[in-house]
Amino acid sequence: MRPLTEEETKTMFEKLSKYIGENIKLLVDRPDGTYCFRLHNDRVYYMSEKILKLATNIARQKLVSVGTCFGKFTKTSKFRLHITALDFLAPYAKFKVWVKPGAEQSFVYGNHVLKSGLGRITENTMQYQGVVVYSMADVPLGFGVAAKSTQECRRVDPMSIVVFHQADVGEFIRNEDSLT
Amino acid sequence: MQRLYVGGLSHTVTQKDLKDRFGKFGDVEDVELRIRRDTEGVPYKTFGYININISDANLKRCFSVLNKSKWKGGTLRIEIAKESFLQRLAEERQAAAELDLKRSSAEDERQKMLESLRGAGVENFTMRAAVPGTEVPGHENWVVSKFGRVLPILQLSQQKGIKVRPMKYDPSKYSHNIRRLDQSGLEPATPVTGLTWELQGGDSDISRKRRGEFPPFQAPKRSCTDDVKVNDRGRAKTRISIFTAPLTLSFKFKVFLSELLTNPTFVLPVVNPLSEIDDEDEESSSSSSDSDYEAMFSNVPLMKISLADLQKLTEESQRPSEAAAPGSLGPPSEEESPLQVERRVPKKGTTPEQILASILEDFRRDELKEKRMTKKTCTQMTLPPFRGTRALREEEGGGEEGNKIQKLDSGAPQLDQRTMGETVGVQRNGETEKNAESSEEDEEDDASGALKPLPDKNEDNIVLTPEKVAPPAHHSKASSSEEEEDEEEEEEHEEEDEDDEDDSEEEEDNEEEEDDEEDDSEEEGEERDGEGNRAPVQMFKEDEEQQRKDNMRRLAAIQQRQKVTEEHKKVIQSALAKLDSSAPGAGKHIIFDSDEEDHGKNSAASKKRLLEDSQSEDETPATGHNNVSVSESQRGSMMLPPAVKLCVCVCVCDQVKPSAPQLFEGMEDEDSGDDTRFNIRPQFEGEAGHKLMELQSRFRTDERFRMDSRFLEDDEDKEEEKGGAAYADTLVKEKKKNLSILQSVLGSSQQSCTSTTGKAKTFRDVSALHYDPTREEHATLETRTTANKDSKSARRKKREEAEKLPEVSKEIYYDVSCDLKAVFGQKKDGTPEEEEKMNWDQKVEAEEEKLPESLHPADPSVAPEESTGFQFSFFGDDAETGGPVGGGSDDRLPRERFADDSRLTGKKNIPPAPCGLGSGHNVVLKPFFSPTEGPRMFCCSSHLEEQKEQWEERRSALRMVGTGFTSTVAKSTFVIGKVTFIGFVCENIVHFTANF
Repeated sequence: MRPLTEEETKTMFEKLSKYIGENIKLLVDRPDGTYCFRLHNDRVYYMSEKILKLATNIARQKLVSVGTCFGKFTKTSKFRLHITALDFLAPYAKFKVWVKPGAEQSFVYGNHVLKSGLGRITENTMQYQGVVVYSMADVPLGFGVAAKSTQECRRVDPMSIVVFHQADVGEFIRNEDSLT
Repeated sequence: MQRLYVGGLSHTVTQKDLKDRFGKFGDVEDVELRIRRDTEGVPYKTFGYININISDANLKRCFSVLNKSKWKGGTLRIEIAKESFLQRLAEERQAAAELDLKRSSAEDERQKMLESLRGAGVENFTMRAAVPGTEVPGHENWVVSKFGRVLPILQLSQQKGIKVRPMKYDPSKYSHNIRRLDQSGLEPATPVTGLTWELQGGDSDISRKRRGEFPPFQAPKRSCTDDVKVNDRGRAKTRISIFTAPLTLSFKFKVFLSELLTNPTFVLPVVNPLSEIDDEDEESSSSSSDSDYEAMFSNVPLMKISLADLQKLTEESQRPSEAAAPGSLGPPSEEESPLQVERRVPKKGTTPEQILASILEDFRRDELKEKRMTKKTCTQMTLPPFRGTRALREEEGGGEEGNKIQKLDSGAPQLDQRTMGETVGVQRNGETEKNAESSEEDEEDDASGALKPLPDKNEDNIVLTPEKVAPPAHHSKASSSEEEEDEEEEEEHEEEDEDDEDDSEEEEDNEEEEDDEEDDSEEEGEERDGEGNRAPVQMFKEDEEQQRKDNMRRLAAIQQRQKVTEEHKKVIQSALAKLDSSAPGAGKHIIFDSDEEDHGKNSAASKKRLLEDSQSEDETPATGHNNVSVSESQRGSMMLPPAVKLCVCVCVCDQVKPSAPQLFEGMEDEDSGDDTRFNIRPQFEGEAGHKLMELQSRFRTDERFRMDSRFLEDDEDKEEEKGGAAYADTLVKEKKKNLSILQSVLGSSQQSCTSTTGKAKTFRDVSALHYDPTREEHATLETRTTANKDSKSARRKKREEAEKLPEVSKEIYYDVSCDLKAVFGQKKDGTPEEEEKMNWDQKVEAEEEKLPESLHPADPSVAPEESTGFQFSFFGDDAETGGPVGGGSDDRLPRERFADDSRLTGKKNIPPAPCGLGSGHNVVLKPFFSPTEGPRMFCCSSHLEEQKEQWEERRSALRMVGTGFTSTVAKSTFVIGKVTFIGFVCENIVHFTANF
């Protein structure tokens, strides 16, 4: 477990900023305590100082997970968000997409969001903007990337993809082994 | 007869035609012609039905000839049609009529048959009093069969192989096969509801429940009879009636009574542990009751009743109900309304009197029949004079009271235990007993309040025991040896308790459970006591005697109870001690602390530990200095290894208060014990001590897991602090770095991050926010309305003027044709003395002198162009007169100032028209007063004086204005372009003229 290098931090922040913009600041600089990002097994964990201290007592090989996993660095050193980060991203999300109850399951099963399943969308969402997907009951379901801007969404036919699937809460079951 | 369909006819065809046509083949009976017409009445289809009597041959010929033949412009189509419905109906009717006829004939036949049979003496196919086989006279094929039935002889065809043989079946020969199905001969059937079922079985709970008799708990009035076989001594079976509820109790009674009836001196058990020995004694002497029963009554107190007592009792209880004599012998209320009593004492169920009464009633009845012998023996017994039911009751009450008191006693240790349990945590017992205790806590609290007089009672007991009154006769056996028995009981109790602690614990539980019942019954007992005082005088002596005896018993019970509680304590302590695995080996494994520690402390600690061990082994309460525990410790020390013994001795001598949690202490020791118990122990003092306390409490004060100060980590905190500081530094650095990276990523400036680190977001309720003028912080909320505002407004006005001037000025532009200068020329002369008064006028005056110089040169250039040679702009006038009209208010000052400023600028730049305000229009300034024409063209001579007065009255300042008028006009600096001022200007002018 080590702190992120500058480059890694940058990569991660760039990714995060797609979803929560400058609200990353609120993650880094929290009023309720010191929180930090740590890299372990190519995964980025977000944890409080307290947990960090406790985790120092555990050997690196034995440590499976600590804090909240935000995502992982791929072999090509890109950052990929995990669904576990949803808890931290959802409250700060700038752009949101609400899916209709009928399309919830489809999304949660790992499919893209179609126009027909699109319940609401934040105004002025740009194309390829990271969005957090909510159910109509405002339960965060995952995140994706807007395939169409808000304006385009209005015109487009019902079966076209509006949001590209990135991660969904179904992964907690589907990828139980790889999510740590 | 056939009915033919003929289709394909032309509509011209008539019936006659058809009749003629088909007449060749047969006799035409009827012709039906149908013509279908469309809506317009044009026929489009014609067909007909012909009823014809025709032979088949003719029909065929007809078909062959006429079918598909052309006739009158149509091709015939002939088919056989169904019968017309009318005909069919007629046929049906006919058939029905025939059937009726037939039936009636058949009925007639049957009737005839019956009548003929009747004639032969057969009624309803039965022939009474006829031997089977007799033929019915007149009917050859009828035979009388079994039960007098008349049956026909059947001719059956029997096929055997190829041959078919007729077989004759004579029912009379098979009559023995016939069985009667007729129900009339049977007994009347019982309805289903009347059906009964019975389960044979003993008097056990289960069998009763199978029979559907559930013991009622609330109203145990219902009684039932049961056969109880008591085979104890091989005696005759007794049949007694008992009350079903409460089941166990009544059962006890029942068994008891059966025993009692057989041997009259038998002792009834009442809820009291004292009774055990008595019972045993009695039983050993007289009988050996079954072990189940013993188990049942292991903790049931004693009630000694002789048979005679019981009998009298029942008589007594019956008598008042008949005579309704209150207070004759027993409690009237009870006797009058046993139901009420029962309701009052729901747990106890029935009062003993009632049970006994009912039992004895039955018993008496039975006795008359069967048990003469026992009755005789009973009556032969020397019966003591009956002393009323009070004896019984009070005995019972006494026993219960004793129990109660014991309960109270036991309340104290329980309380202690609980209080200890909070600090020390007696987990084992605490958990098991907590439920019960918590429910009874209130009770026990009360009990603890009532604890204090107890020791006195103890003393009373000691005093009383010698002067024990001679026991009454009927108690001769039981009570003569009462004291001895008590002692025996005590001893035995001790033994028992020591033997099986678990049992005693259970007992305790039982007692707790029984407590409620006892309370109830005790209340009643007290009531009865009260009523007993009102009892007849004849009973008084006996009562006294009884009371004394009861007192003794009670005291004995108290004493006994105390001992029991002590035993409990010991038991619990020992039980706890046995939990500890270290206990047995404690004598061997004495832990010696390291030498580094403080010596005195060390020794104390070791002592403490040893003491604890010894306690746990010894089961003695650690209160060494009271004689009881000393003796016990002595007793215990006999069993202990010498080292431990020594320790115990040391403890006793030094009276070292053990720091270990002490579960129980002697009653006498309570006061001294309490003080020390709640002191904070030295090792728990301070912060480290607190930690130690936490450590220890974490393991629930189980001594195996006791962690002393060695387990405390001393350096932990400091290291943590140091490490923490370093760590925090790195974290802060990291955070800063992250933020910088974030900044670079976002591209925008997020400088405020560092500043926000310290700030914790605090919620502010906006609705609760209010301005408090007394608070200094709120001064910032105040808005200042002072010079600053003035200057602002001035600036704004300046801007306004700058903007508005051009537009407005055009509208307010007047030419004055007359030469005012001449008219007002003299004004200058009149004003000077007034100008001196005003400060601001001084300046103006000073400049006034200059202005003419600057203005006058312009005059010649302008004047020639104008037709009149003089131009007057009210513009300047307005500006000036606006002030006076405003009432000489403060806002004139800035204007004036401004005017001054502009004057200065104007003076430098534009000599002829010094309006520095940038107004685009040309204001041609002329000398105001022209000498050629006077002000007469303005003024109205008639109003002149009036107006003059008016103005002078109104404000004196106007005159000053008047003086300033000329100067300002000359300057023409300050302007408020308002058309509305014109009127005032006029007035001013008028005023000026007046001045002149």
